[in-house]
Amino acid sequence: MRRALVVDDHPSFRRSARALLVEEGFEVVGEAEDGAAALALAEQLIPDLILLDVQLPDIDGFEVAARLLALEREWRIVLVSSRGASDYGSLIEASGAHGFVCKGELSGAMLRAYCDE
Amino acid sequence: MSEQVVPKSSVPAPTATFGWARDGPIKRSGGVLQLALLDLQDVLRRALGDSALDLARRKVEERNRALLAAIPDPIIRVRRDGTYLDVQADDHSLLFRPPEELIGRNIREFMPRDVLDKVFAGIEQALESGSVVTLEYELEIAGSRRWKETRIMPSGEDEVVSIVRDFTEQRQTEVEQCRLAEEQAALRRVATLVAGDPPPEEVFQTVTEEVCRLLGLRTAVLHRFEDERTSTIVGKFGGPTGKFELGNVVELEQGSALSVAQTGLPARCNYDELRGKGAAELRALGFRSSAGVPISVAGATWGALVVALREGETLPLETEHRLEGFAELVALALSSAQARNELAASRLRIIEAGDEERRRIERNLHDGAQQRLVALSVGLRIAQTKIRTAPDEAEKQLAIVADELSEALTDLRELAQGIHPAVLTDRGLGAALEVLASRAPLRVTLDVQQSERLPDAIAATAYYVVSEALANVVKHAQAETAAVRIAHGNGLALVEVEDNGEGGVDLNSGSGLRGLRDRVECLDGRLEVASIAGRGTRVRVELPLP
Repeated sequence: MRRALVVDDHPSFRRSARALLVEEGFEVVGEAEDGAAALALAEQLIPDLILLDVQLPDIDGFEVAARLLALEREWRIVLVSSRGASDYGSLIEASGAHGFVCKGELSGAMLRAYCDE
Repeated sequence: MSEQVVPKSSVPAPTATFGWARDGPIKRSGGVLQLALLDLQDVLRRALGDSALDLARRKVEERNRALLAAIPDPIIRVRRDGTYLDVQADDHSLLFRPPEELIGRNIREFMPRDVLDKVFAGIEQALESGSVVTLEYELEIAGSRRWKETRIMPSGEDEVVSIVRDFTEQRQTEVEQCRLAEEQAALRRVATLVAGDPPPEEVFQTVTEEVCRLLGLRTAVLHRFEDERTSTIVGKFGGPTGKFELGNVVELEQGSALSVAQTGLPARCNYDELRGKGAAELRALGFRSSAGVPISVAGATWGALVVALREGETLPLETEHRLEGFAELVALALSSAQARNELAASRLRIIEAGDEERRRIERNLHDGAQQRLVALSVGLRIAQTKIRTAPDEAEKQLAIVADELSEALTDLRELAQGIHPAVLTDRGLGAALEVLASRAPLRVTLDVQQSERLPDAIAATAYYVVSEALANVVKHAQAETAAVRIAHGNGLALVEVEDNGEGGVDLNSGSGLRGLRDRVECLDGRLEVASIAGRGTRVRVELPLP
């Protein structure tokens, strides 16, 4: 079973994402509400998928993604935001994240596809 | 004793009386008329004989005496060598000595060298030409400076008569007019500068320079008081002034600036009379005294304009009065700059408030409605996947989605209400205030006297004043009731919100009231907060109606 970490400061989104991931056959091994907690939990839990919100209260999601990638683990990092990709332009690509999904368009199949790449 | 009117070349000098020579026309036309009179006498002598001539001559003498008596100026008969022969003057204060003390003495004893040279040259010229010579000169008589005009005319071979007119007052008036014209020109130059709204520093510099030029002094300094004993030098003209250099913050130990700072009144000081390091430093730089006037802005003493005098310099008449004219222009420049700065700050605050409001709306949308819609979207997808395989779970999921949707709608409604209350647009201020009052968690009485609908900008501002004031009452005042009053008349709309809470509110303490004041001032209105601790708060706004 694939293991996922959900990082978002809004509990309602964490709840929704968890339901979606579970429905898709993921095990949600942890939830973090800011960047620092995300980095700590990721190192501790080594998940397969990290669903990472861009707007976090401490470090933004792009920076968190860059730091996670620097750790050279096998995990897949998917950025999520309630804004569209066009709001962030080249920042998404520059972060090195494996994907970006607008929260409103999030689906289980899409997340699984990122893991299967 | 001969009293004949004859040309100087052929007649002996007349002696005791001026009679023959004191005819008005002679005074004006000199020797020509003397010759005319001579001819007339010859004609009369031939035609009438000596007795008739005597009669005619007595008449002429009588007339001449009358004319002489009518001349108010001193009339002096002087020999070629400067000896006083005769002096006649109604006002003895115009003479060096009383007439009886002058006769027999010489003008050399009384007049300075430069004037003597001029007078003797005039006597010689009059005697040579036989015509009237006019001179102007200055003299010191009994300690005061006098300006004289002397008309010298020959009265014999070796003597002249001079009529001395004192035009000191006229001269002083001319000098005063000239001074006033210079002062007006200097004030006009500064006023023109001030009208162009330059940086105040430019005005400070120009004022010190103009003051020095006008008063004939070399040093002027402009102080801005930091407190009663400290000032910053913001303007300076003239040579080294020790610690009073431009930009320096100085402690005022003694002197004119200190007096002005402490009293708010013009002041003078003499450094020779002052003991202390400050005065000693200024004495060492060559300064002897100073005079200063206050610069008052909005009823407070902002600073002082001070002129410093060196050895040999004296303060002109009415120095303080003249300095005050410049001090007023400095105050005007400061008030204007202050108003400009306040306007700029207010504009900036309005822009910042707009930005902040946009950020608030974005945050509220992001954290509220948007999150709910995301949850809705995810919830619907989950329901979609379950609808065939597990319809009961899908139904539960749809119920959650429906709740989430109605909460999202509430969030959006509240947000829209915060952006602009729809009821205000649709039904006017009175209805909007009723909604505000009904939502407030305390008793709010409304007194809305409104005969006609207010213009949109006025109504919106009145609404936000009441909304913000009531929000403050709820947050801070611990009040039981609040009263809202709206009235208009005399071209003004009046908004008042009064509570019975704790009071002690400072207008500058929060951004809410300051933002309101900016908004009110944009409409040329006025916002006042009366708030005494323990006695409630009253926010009162007056808005001019277009």
